[in-house]
Amino acid sequence: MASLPLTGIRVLDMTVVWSGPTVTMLLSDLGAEVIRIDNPWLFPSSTRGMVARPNQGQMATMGPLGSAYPDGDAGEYPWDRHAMFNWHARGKRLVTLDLRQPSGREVFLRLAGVADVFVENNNVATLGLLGLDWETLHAANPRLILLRMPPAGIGGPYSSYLGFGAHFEAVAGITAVRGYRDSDPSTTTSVFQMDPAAGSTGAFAVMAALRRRQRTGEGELVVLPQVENEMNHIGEMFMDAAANGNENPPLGNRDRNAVQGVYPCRGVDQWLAVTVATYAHWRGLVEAMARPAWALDEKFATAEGRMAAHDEIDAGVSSWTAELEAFEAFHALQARGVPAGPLMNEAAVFYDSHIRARGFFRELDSEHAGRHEYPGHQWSWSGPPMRWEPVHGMGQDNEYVYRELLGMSQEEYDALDAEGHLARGYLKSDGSLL
Amino acid sequence: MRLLEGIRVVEVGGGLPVSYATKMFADFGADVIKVEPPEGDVTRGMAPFIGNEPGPDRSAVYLHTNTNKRSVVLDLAAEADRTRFAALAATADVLVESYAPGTLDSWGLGFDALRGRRPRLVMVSITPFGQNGPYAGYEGSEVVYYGMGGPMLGNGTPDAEPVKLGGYMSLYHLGNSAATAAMGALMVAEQPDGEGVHVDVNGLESQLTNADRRTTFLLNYAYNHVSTDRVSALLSALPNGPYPTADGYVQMVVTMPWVPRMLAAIGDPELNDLFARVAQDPTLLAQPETKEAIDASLYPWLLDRTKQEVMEIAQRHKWPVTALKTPVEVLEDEHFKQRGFFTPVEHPTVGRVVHPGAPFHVAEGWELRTSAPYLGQHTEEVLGELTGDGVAADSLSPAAQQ
Repeated sequence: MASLPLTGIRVLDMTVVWSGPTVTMLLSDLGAEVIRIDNPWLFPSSTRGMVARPNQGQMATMGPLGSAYPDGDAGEYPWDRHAMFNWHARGKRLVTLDLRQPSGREVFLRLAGVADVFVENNNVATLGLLGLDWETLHAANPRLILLRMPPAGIGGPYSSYLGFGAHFEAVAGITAVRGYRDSDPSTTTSVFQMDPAAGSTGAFAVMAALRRRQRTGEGELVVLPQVENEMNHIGEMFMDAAANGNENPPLGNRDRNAVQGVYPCRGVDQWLAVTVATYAHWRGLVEAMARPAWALDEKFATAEGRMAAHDEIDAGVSSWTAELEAFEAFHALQARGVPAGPLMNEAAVFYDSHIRARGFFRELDSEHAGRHEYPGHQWSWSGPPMRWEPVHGMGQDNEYVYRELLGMSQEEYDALDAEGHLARGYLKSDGSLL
Repeated sequence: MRLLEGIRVVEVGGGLPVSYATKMFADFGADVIKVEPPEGDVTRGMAPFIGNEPGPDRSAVYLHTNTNKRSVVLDLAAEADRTRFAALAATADVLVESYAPGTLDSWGLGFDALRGRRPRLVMVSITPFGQNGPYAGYEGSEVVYYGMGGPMLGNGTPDAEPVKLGGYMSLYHLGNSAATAAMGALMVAEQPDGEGVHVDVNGLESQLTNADRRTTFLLNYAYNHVSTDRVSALLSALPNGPYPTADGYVQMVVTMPWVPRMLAAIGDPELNDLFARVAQDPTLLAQPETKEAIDASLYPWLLDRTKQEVMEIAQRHKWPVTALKTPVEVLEDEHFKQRGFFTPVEHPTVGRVVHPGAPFHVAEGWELRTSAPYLGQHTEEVLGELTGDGVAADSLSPAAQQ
């Protein structure tokens, strides 16, 4: 029997926000033992919540993620209860360590000695400031693979810049090409797609490096400039810009290669996405609409004709969908082979018959957030079952990692505690929980 | 030896997600064989085109997503070409396909049939909605995946329709996820007691599990029974989104911990006073008047400066703000120039084409060795390699015999 591909692989995780954590989630799903390291003296913004312990007033003013705790209650351990963290924390071992102290750095190097992979997506200067540059890590463990995920790469004027995905997408051309047609960017909302894109690529890169290590026996440095990875996702627009000078302004919900739109359906904020890329799609749409007179014009027989009459098609389809439930129109179109989909909010996703039938949501325990249904794995396969294990609390695995894994004596472990490395959460200067 | 040298990947079925998934392998050294129907992959027909003129080798989508591959034409509607395809698949480590569920099975080319000849075959099936479930077999598209699987209802302004991301972001993301799944499955197959793996990757779940903020929103629903829409996305008075400057826009997403950096960069006593009051009473941030007051301080400061200046001043104060640039501007941007990100490749007939660069860097890793192939450019070469594998040399398909 084959086992999960990363069985026996140990990964050190010093990641923030979403991109790095997504990499280590995928590696953990595939069998790796992931050890996440949190510094109890530094609350990382937008990682385990927006602030360490928000009061009710703050929660109400920090957007949809301000109060994303079970039952809107931050609880005693807010950092172990936030949805932005818990969705990717499954199965990871959680330890605390203050890497700014010499003793913390020393312990980290011991961990690096027994690890296969180290993943980090901090500011590009952080590893150097901690005295943990590639040369040091490579000397500590020549088999270690280091994945660094600087948002704009290492080198170049923006490599020290700070920001979320939304910031780097903006400076890299990715924001300018989305939004409403004929509008200025002030109506463009912030999105954060750089992180998931980097998550998939990071896991790919780590596995590729592990495969190569089987042959060479050597670890290596992998650098993933997150925004450059994502720039590939609009690659054709850069090629168009370079070859033709075209600006690629936002198209709203339209598509350069199909008639496409999002059409209002019966109810409040109910919409149906429809794409007509081929003549077969067009015929299916016309049939589903019961052959309205306007749609029988011969000009719609060609792709050029349909694109030229996009506004007219939009008006006709809208008047049809407006009378229908989004799901009703969805099934009517799909029954005739037309790509269509209702825009689903989270409630709709949660109760969707298809998503339920596939067993997508699965229950999971969390030390401090209780038992809930969680969004599932990124794919399914006939291979060994991917890991699905509880969400641990901050510092929950200190004893396992330091005592069992590193074989520290009780005295050493107590010294770590006395030096302020061990905690179950973020600390005030007096050592009590924030 | 290049990172993925020695891996053979066969792709069939066509489209952007499949093409991008196998490009991830091809650009790092794998031998990727693109099986196309006689009319060519659908990506060959996708705008934009180099020179603004359509043509089977001029699509930027095709040229971008098919670098370093070999093209073989096989007509899987014809029995003889199915035999050739089975022989080709028997040489593959990874087969990536994008037919509707059950299609390859109906041709006798499903996972179980192919695994009979290649026990360790990894077969990655990319579909809109997966291999089973009520919507299996339904059609998908860029906006369908994002609308159903992604956080689209939260993207846009409350008084207008929700709006998708630019271009083909959800199709690329699907391809990107499929490449990762393929790599994981390959590492199952390659174990000493390894076995073949059939992978089900789909547009819907690639969004639900990992698109923007959607997965957080889904867990928040499990925790709180609340959904996020275009109204609730605007709950805070803190600057969020593009703001105008003297010559364009800058991108802001200000979180509470970053407020002191913003105040230091701007140095406006009134703004400082306002946030001193917010510190006493955070609920002020939920009031529209607060947003108006913050913006009233920000706008004059921003409009006095270029977007590049604003970005540089803000970043000196560790306040995350960036200039919003178009792809044309990005091509000339000093950062990406110094990094050598954009990579020209000479195409034998299309000419010099500038491509985006590496998604990640390793020693002996990414390289654009050859531009995307002509339709059927390698049919004869690849089928010729198979003659020892039960395919007679004289049984080459018509396309190869030309």
